[in-house]
Amino acid sequence: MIANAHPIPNVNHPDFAPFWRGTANGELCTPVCSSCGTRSWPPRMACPECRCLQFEWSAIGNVGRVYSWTEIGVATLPGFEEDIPYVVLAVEAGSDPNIRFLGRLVDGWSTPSIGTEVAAVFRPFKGGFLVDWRPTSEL
Amino acid sequence: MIEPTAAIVGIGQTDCWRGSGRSAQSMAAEAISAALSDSGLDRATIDGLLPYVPGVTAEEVLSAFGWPKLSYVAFHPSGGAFAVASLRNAAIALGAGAAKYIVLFMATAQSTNREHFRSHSGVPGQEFRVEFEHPYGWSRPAHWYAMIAQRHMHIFGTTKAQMAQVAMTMRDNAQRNPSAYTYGRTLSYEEYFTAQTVADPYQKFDCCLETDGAAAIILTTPERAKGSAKRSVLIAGAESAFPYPADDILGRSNLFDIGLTHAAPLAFAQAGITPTEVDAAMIYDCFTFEVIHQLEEAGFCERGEGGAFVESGAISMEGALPVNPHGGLLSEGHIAGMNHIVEAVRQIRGEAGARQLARAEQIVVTGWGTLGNGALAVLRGGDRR
Repeated sequence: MIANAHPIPNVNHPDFAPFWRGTANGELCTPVCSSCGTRSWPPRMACPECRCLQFEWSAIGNVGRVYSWTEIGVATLPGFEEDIPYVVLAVEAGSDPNIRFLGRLVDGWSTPSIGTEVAAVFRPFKGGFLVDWRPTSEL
Repeated sequence: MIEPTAAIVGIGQTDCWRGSGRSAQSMAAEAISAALSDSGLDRATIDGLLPYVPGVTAEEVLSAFGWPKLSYVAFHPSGGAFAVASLRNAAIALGAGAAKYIVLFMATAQSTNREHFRSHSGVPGQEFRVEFEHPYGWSRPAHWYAMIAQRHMHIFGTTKAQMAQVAMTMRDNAQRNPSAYTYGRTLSYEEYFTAQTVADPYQKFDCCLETDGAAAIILTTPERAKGSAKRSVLIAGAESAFPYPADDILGRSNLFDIGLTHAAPLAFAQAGITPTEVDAAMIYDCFTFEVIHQLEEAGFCERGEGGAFVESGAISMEGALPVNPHGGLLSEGHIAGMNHIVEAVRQIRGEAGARQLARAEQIVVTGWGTLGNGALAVLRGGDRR
């Protein structure tokens, strides 16, 4: 769980609400252009490929690879003082490596090297679920 | 190659402090006043302003200095790249006759007003950052850029020892700069390597200073500059560019492709030169690795070879491409790169005293900001007085 002090998302944000509906269902979803089918992340105001303004959100899969990482040693946001040091990962989605998510490495795992396969772990907060990552290998 | 339309005829800069207790307005006035005195210009001739937004406003400056004819005001939203990007704005405005004398300035109370400075309210895609990054505790430039460095280390084998070389060089240079914040404070390798981790691989001394300070420069056309008492400095080339996508770092096809990658060749083409013809480089050293990165993307060495380039000693005062003789953001102070422009002018004029470079005819200045916006300018000595 997340202590009260940590910043949490607004799950009702008009542009982002579908993402949080997805994580509540255990799925990572991103916008897909209704006209040309291009998937994008972050969600943007128009499709960079065809300038269409309509999107549908669909699941991208819950497995990816570490694209980069860092370990944070100084807390810069409220609530994170108890967490430091903690590792954040940039994860490229397995089914589309151009789509990359930012999330925490699940506690207890040592930092995986770039390229390591990781799986999404849904972490509850008040109102929804964040997406953390853990290596898929048990070794 | 294009004919320069802008020249720097005045510079002014405060010392760099922490906890100065001074307002940004007070420091801005000191820097602007110093630049006016340095240029020998009557204060009433200023008709253009390039302020940093948010910050001390154009309205406050024109009212304090008595400039009722101010007609050209612009701001280039590039975070820390604004100073070099603004050189391009000045070149365009002066070339078009939109202004005769332009003041470009920046005043920051980062140390005294730390909370405001660290809120980074001008970052592109701020809502996405707040909703999708802050909940995971990833929220500062050190955090963002650390991921670029980490990937560069993984792909090219860039090392902490190479980053240390940048930190040590900057600190050594600052020992010849009495107005630098770290003047008189040397740095040992042991201190560097045992310092607190901010965001791996960045430790304390990989990160630029947060200081209070201000700097201002005055630009006019090369023709008008011929009348100035001191040697003018021409803007031989100046370009700025966004990376793509510009509103998100992690979604880029290549993390090393930054605004500078695209601005540099355009600026060099305007100046009619290649990177090998540059005597020194003022690199926006927000972090040690970003010096390595920008040396590559500006074309001073191949992508991936920046670590070796730095390790060779090339960037020292005695090296083939001295970088930041004043100590940079890492060791002089953080005036959003304005201090890099000021130092380039001092070097070209021969006013750098104990840290004067033997060859300082043509100097590059880079800018870097927010999510990798970039800029590059080529500064060249005008006619000798």
